[in-house]
Amino acid sequence: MASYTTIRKITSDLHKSLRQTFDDADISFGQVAHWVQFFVNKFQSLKIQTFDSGLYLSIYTNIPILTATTSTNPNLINGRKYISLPSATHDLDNDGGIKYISYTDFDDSCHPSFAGVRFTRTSTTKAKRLYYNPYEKPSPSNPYYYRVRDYVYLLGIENISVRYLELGLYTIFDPFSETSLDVPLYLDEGLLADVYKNVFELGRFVMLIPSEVINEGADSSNPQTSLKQRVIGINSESPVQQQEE
Amino acid sequence: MNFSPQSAITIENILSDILLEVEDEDHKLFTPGYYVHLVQSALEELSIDSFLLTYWQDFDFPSETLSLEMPKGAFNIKQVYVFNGDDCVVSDMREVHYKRLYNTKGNGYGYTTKNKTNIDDYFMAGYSSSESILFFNLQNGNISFSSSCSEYDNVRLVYNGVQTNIGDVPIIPLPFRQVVIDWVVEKIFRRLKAKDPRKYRPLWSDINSVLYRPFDGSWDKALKRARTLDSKVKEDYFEYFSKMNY
Repeated sequence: MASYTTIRKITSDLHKSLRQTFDDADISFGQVAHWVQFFVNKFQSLKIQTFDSGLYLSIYTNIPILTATTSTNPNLINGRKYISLPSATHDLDNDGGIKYISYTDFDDSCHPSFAGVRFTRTSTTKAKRLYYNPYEKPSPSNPYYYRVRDYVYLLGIENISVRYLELGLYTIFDPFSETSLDVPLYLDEGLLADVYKNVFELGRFVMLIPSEVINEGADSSNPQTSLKQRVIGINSESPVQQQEE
Repeated sequence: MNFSPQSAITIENILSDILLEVEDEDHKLFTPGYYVHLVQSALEELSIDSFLLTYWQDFDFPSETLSLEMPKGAFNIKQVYVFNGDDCVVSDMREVHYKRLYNTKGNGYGYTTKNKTNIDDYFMAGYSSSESILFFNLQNGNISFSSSCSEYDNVRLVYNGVQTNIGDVPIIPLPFRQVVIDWVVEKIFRRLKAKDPRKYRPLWSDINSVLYRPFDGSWDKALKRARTLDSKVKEDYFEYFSKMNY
């Protein structure tokens, strides 16, 4: 297996660096992990939209198909078949966080299920047009799905018995749901420098905020002597700096 | 030109080309059914413009109404015959001719037409009655027969029709693989133009040119292919013409 940077490695490194810079600040490991999460997800999302890579794909199999027996507001409708998303996904155009949904493998199939009948994405308002065309009408051999928050409703399989589905998802990175800190980040290693830079910048910005409200004994009633807000960007010659100078 | 049904191209085979050309292998742009629908539409258009496919079908003669609907998928009647017996033993076959402006409500109701026995028409010199001839008229997809046709049990229609009916899985004749691909890709880009004109208009323009360029565009090529006689047919025609015995 290719070696990827782990959560422990990047978070520990960043945590240590921030603690060295702001030695009296109360920065927790979890806080840094949270900041790492922001930027890993941001870069993952950008990568998924511009690259065709399996690095960010997770396959979930045997996801049970459920049928609500009563309606519960919001989003659970009596009698409709649906599945619950097993993980949070990136929200991309046309529900692109769901790479595919297919039937689970059958014993007699000669190729994997995702190469056979796949569910096609539709939406609650676009679905109506499908019924106008005999070639597009939802059916077991031409099924559809539409997403409503964490539920994925299914069209075309109302009258057949299917118990499980297979899902390919672009799941988000959540360090707090991992069972170990030693799992890979699954991000292009070339983007780690950007994660570092962004976390540092965020950390530095967060650390600057308290200094603006510290009472340093100056007479705040006099505008001439009161403290002036001073924001320093990490990048040299930032527009903020130039404006101040 | 003809083609062997055994070498016809499956819908999956042609979709493998189309999906690659429009970069929609994961069906994020259009549904799988929509592509099949476009392939079917391409074959319909090609069939209608080229008169590519000829079918025949037998029907019980409608002796009461004298009226028969054109078969599903038919768009051009080529020949009409009536006969007795059945399709295993055809007997007493006669050809039915077209008569302009013929209308009838059914057997025993009489009929109207421009030229009819016992109607004096001073403007038509030398008019001869057509009552002894079996005839039909074609209006709005309905074939109306003369009452004299009802002496026969069956009617056989020879017609041009589309390859497959709407809703069936289309099968693509081998010589027309490329034109169907180009036709579908052109339609896909045409629809995508509304979504992203800057990206798709040049693509649509390119494929439109490939498809509809005069003489060597894929559409013109396909029509030429469809209308080209088989070599054997051509040679035999030459022979008949040379003997003046056709």
